[in-house]
Amino acid sequence: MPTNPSEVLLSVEDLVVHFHTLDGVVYALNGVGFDIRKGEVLGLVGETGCGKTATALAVLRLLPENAEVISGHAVFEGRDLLTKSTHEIASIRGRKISMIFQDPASSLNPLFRIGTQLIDVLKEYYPNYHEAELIKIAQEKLSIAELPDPESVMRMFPHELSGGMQQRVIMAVALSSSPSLIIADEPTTALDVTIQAQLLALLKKLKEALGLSVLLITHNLGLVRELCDRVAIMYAGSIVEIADVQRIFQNPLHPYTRGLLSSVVSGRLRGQTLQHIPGMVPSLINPPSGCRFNPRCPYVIPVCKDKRPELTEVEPGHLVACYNIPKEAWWRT
Amino acid sequence: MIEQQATAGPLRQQRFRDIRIILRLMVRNPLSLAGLVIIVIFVLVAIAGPYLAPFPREAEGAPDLMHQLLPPSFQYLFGTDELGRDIFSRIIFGTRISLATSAAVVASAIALGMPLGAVAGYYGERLGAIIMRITDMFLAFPPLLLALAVAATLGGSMLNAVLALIVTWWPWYTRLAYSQALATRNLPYVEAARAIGVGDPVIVARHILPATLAPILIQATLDLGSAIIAVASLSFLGLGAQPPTPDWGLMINTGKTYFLQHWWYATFPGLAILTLVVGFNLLGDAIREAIDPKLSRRRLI
Amino acid sequence: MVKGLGQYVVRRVAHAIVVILGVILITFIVSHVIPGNPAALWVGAHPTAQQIQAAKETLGLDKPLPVQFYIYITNLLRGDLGVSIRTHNPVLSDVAVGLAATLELIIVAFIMAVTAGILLGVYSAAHRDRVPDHFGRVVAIFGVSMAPFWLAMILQLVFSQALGLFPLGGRLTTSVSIIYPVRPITGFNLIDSLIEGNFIAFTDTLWHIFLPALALAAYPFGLTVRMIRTMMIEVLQENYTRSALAWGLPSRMILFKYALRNAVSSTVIALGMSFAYALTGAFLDEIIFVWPGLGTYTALSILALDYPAIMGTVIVVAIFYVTINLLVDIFQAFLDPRVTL
Repeated sequence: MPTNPSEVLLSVEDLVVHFHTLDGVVYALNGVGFDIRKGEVLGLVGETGCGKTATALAVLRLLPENAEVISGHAVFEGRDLLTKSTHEIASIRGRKISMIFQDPASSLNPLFRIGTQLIDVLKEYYPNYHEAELIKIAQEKLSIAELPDPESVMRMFPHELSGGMQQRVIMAVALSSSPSLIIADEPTTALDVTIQAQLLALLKKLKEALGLSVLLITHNLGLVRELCDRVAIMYAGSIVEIADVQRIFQNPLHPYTRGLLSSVVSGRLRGQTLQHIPGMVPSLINPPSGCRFNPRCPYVIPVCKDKRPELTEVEPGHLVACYNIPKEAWWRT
Repeated sequence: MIEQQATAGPLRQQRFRDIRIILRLMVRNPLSLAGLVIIVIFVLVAIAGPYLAPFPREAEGAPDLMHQLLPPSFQYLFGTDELGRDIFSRIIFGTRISLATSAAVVASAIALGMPLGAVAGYYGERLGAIIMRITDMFLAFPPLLLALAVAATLGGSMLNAVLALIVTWWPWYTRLAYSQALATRNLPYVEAARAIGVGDPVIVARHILPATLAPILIQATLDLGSAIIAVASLSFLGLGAQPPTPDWGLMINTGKTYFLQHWWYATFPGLAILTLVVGFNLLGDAIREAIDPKLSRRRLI
Repeated sequence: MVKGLGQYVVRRVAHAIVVILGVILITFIVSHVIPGNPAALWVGAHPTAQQIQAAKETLGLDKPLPVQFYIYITNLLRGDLGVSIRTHNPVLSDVAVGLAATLELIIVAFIMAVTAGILLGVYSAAHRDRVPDHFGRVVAIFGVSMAPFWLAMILQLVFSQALGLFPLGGRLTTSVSIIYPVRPITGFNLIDSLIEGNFIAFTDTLWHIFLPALALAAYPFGLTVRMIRTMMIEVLQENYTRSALAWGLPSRMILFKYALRNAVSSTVIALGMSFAYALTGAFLDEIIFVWPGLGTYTALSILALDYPAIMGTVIVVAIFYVTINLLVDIFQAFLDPRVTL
């Protein structure tokens, strides 16, 4: 799939994950596959519950106890993360691949000061440094995250900071070991719009300064347009389309992507009927056979119900998983 | 009429679903099954007592001075006491007493404490504050100590012991009901009921009280076990059952003079207490774990 | 932040004082309003009407109730808890002597219970729903389900009587108390003997305290295991644990440095309450092991219907309990700064 293998940082192939719950088995991830290249921002877009977070957790082996990884690979730096030992994974987490989560307030331990938590992490990354040096490094990291007065922040408890500041602290921690990949799971959804803008600008700046790759998980298409180089669209446990950001807005090919993009509200569409995709997201306990979008798809053909379509390259850099790609051009007013 | 349907509907569905999940979780858990089995056995023994005990009259107190302090044998399964009475039979009869007294204590404490707490939590402000201050004062006593003082002044008898324990126990339920009521009174469906014009007493009875029920029931199951030990403790101090009642605690008390030379005397009544209380605790623990939504199946280390 | 803690302390102390007043009121009501004839008991066997009347005057029982309460409170503030009908000593001195002995027992029991409880609780939570966890939970349940006096008797039967490993009772072997006496400085034999370098008495005390403390430790041990286990499970599911893992912190650090503290801070209050349980458990325990503490004193007072002694003990213990809870609350606020908000 990739044009140049040495450019690929993380390659996820055919990831299948089930969750065992009281209501039955949830067939959450149904063969997820995508690549992240060095220095790029890949957006992972989909509705709530489609499996975006599960994918990220699976890569870092942070899935809950009732999850079962049936098959798949997550190849990073030449080795499959899914088969490594717990010890080896622990040395990758935070250091080479970092993750930041949705709700900053609950992501910091409320009983310990920011400084304590940050320095404990730094001790792991820089084991041979003295405490005094670590304190300096900690303050440096906090100011890179654009936190005013890092010295006081270190002495504070998480609940004494605002949501935006908390997320900056978390970014500081996540970036403190200069990882090659950062996974950001809806990092700004829980915050005000103005803070969102600031934090994302920061993320962009840091990405350019440090040469990171970012896997940005979101359901916000506006964000994707702002920040991402490429986008992967996810529906009900599998990736249905991957393309460059411009291409996907110009020429979305998968019926779901089309439905998604046309349901975005815009002032230019005033006076017209609100578009939506008929039907509901399927239950993942009893998912439809074959392509999971088939019950709602206006272009469904018999083979769609038999076998799940694979991602195929339809034009350079643009992959779609569909048997019956709509022929008519995508219009945009 | 309409408001009843409007507010009762979703709640009833929710409770039904919860009960099914709870039962499913409990059946899967061998510990909770074990607890249930133990309790059922004891209840059956309590009911069928007179027919099961080999020496029913001795159990009620009739002495048999020919067979004093005999070690366990095929005839006297748990041995005999200083008056020659079969300990096994006395323990069987004692089951009734233990179950009845602990149930009485817990039920009365709930009957007193729950409405009080619900009212305090719902009405809040002055009335609530006064009730809770008084509750705090009762809660300030180490549990058995207050019961001890009350029972000592009333005089030693089973009834007085039960009364003393009720006096000590009610505040715990008041506090439980209070915090539940506080949480519930601001929920949307309660506000909706108020907005429609449903009167306060009806709201308390229909919405607040049932919401307080779940944690109270869990606590009650566990408390049944604690109550058994509490009653036994008071009897042990001479403040509860009086001879010749076949109360387990009293038997251990009388036994303490003899048991160093006659090990069976205090061991078996104590084992009876232990087994029954373990049963209640296993069950209560299992219910608590099944109900608590936070203890869901997610674990990372 | 320190200011927040200070304000919290002031609030809690004020609350505690109000509660103590309530405790005194309740105790007074229980002791004076309930039927009984303490005056007759004071005189002893076969009291005459005259003696009863004289006793009433001495005890102040002929005055109206509110006046009696006033006298009671003022006496309390002066440290006068009345005089024991049985020993004819001031109740306060009787209680003081017994309190130290009982406290020593409880503290040793608690140290045993909490240390073992935390270890087993963490172990259980880390291996949730697997065999070690089931083992831990069953052990905890047994601990909580045993009547403390019964456990004391069994321990005494097995380890003292049958195996002869430990003494049957008492605080010190008689010979030791004569040849190597312990000077009561704090009232805690363990501390007092160490202060004077009296190692023989120290080991003797340890030998005597072990079984009673063990019997007493069962309940708080079981409670601690359960609470720590529950709290740890909850904490391990929290987002901040997930973050810590995502940052690559080692499991052992997450368990013992971070998660445990989160778990303990919620457990501290429950431990305070189990201290109360230990107080009453100690009473029963002492009777079996003939430990010269408040428990034995209370048991004898009950037998003799010695109301001033009973009430005095209840008040002292209750005040003590309120104080312990107050300290526990403050400690928790220190551990968890969110409480002060």
